[in-house]
Amino acid sequence: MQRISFEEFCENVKEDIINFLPEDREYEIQLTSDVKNNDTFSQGLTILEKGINIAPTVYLNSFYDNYTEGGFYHKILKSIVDVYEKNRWQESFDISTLIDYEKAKSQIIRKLINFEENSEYLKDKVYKKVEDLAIVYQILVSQSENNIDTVTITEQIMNMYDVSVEELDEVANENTLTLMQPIISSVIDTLDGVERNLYLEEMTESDLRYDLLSVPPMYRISNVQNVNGAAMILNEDIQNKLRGILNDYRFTVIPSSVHEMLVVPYDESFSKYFYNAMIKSVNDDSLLTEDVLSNHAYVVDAQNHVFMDIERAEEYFKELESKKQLEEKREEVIHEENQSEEIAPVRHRLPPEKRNIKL
Amino acid sequence: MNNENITVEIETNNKTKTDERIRKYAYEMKVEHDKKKIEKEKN
Repeated sequence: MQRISFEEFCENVKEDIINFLPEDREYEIQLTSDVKNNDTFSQGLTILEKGINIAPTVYLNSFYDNYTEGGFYHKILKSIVDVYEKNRWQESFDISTLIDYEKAKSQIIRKLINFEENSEYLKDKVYKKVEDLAIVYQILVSQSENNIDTVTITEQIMNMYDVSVEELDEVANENTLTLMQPIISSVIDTLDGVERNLYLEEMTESDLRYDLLSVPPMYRISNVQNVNGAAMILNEDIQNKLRGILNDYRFTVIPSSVHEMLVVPYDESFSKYFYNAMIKSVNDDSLLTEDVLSNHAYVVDAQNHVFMDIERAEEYFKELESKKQLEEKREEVIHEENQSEEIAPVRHRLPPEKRNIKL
Repeated sequence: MNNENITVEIETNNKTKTDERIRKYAYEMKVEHDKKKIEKEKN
């Protein structure tokens, strides 16, 4: 069967979708082109209902993939309408909940993306750099079991807020934890399909023994929807929890995607070359370009809450160790001085010019 | 922005793909771990 190009497919969908929408409403149908994560291009279909100022954008790329794989056109149109119906608003949205900071701030969350791969996407966004990644901020409009609906904060919105990026980040960090329901789960559990949330449950000794069966133990960090959950790793509360589970303040982080991170114990015998080659290979084979977070591993020092590129981890921990040794030596010297003061208090209390006088 | 319509992005994820990635990582980590164990035993 002759298959049409993506552009033709989008135009046809725009023309034909009206026949699948309920007839009791009036619509304005638009095609929109958006730069998405990792500067990928997405063609979206926006179905605006007359009298309602908010509408979801349904991206057509995956529907086109279905079509080229032999999917029936009318069934695809029906699926697009299903997505729209599930996510449409039945009444207008109070826009002040987006542009008035006092109203918006309880719904602002973090999303973690790659910095360099998003040079185009980040042009009009508010962001904070963390290593070679960038935190962007989103207003959570609604969430359901499998998806989250968001509006990303642009420079235009930020100009109306009159707050610093630091303040925005602080608020978003707290909200990401409270609104998005964090999940820490053993990879064995995830693959068994009987996932328990170790963020909420305490680990027992038998749990630990069970996790040790996976060699080495590996944990998935995300949110309940497993959407944009990679940002969770930056939260101090999550890092503290992982420190408890792994019984070490250091751990290695595998950026599995923008949706989740994987954490394994920090082990110097596993080289950065091994991690980085493994990550690149899985990214190339099992991840959509728009979901790639990074091609290399990171390491966390959960004691000082430092998130770093694996490249500088070895040097960082060496420095930390020498600082610790220096501190210990300093304490030893102070201790010795205190002791000698106790032994010869009179000598030390003499004025300097009299200290060499034989008594 | 006051006079504009609001476009909301619906963000989802594919669970099957996530499991596939995790399985690959778990496998690769185990292979590397076993390799190191054998090397250690040889030495």
